Amino acid sequence: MKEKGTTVDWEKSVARLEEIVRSLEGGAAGLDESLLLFEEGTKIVRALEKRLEEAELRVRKLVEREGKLEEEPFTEEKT
Amino acid sequence: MRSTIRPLPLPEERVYTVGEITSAVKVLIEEGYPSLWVEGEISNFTHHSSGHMYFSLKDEKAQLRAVFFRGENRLLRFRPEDGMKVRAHGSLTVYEKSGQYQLLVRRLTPVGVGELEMAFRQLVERLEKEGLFDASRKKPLPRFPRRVAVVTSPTGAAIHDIVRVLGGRFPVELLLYPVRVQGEGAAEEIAAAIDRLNGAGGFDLLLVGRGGGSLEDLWAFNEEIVARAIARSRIPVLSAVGHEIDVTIADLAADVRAATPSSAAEMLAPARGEIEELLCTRRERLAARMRDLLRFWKERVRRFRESRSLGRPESLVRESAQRLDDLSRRMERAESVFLASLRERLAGSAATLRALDPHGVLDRGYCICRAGEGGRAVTDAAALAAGELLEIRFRRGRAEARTEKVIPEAEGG
Repeated sequence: MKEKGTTVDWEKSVARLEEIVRSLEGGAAGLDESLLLFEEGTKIVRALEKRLEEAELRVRKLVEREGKLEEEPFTEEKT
Repeated sequence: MRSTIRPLPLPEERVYTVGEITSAVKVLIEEGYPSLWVEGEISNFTHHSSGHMYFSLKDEKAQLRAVFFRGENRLLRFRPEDGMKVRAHGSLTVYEKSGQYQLLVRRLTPVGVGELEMAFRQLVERLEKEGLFDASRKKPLPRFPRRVAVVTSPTGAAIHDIVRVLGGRFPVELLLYPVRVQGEGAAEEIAAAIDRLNGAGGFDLLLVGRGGGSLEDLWAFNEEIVARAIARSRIPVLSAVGHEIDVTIADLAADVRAATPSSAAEMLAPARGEIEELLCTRRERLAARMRDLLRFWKERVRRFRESRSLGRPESLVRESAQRLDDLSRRMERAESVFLASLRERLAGSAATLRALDPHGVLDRGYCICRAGEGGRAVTDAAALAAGELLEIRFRRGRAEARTEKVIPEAEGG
């Protein structure tokens, strides 16, 4: 089961964000386009900040079951 | 004359058969040298398809044949080679059929260098020659991995350190694939795990490693089978074996080596602070750019209005009245969107006020003046009374002041 937050593709989002910042700073876009870029950029930042806030580290264990790799909760045992 | 052929006299000593004498020698040698160490140089080394090893140990004076059967040589960590100086432990045996005596070897160790060290050197050389460690084969680690598989012991120090360090960093999904990290069969388990994870797919990064230990403890990560599994992994592999000074063959084969499991965790995910900084600066650059644009367009609108009101056509700006209104509207929308997003982010601080002002007015020395109950900002001096208490907010800090005298705006002032 995946939480909604985990499906945020950081790699793509950050890349898009940097692209937007470059375009906006490049100055080639007109006012309307700039506004759209600004809105998109701000949305991305908000989403990523939210994801950063709400997510925690998820640790699970992999087990082999009938030829498939399945996930199980993992708790650290002391040796 | 007496001539008789006299029979040869019978020998005084006993006459042995070949078998008897060989047997006697066998007993003499085997009981005389049941267990010993012999040092010499290997020559004529062959590793038979049966698994048995045959060679000679020699020095300047003599040569001793030796055999090292599969059952015993199975545990050998290094490869014996012609010219190598070794010490062999075993017993002397006589093989009657061929009338040869030889050393039946049970243990073999190199001279001058540890057994494991020798094995390590040999393997490094061999794999390096194959190009397994070439920089061109290394894959970069993903900047923001989502699903990371960790191949390590479920009870070891490694997983503990990794979880601890990752906790304070960029969130990832960590999947532990438990394996033994030392002892017989551990290398096979580790290699199988890497292959299995590649087969299953869905992982952005593999972390392979274990906590500190002796060379013997870490040995599984120096085995060829692990090195090859890492080399053929399509998923990038980050190795983290032992302490800083331990460099294993797994480390050499991996795409990136971390000195320890903790530093591996630091490497694979950026710190929260870093990300927050990245987002913050991006946001500021977006805002700064919008600010500039709005200023530019506002100025343009203003100039056009001016030129029209003076009846002088602005040759550089040929917009119709319609377009002017259009422009104003678009600009207002841009401004309100801009302000809304900033307001949303920052609440209730001096920074807010500064940021809300698209012209950076506070930065330039202007201040915001508030008066009366409710502290509304003052825009018209006429609204004030002499002696009224004001709060003046600067870029940094504020002051409380009392109005001395009010000077309303005169016509054309």
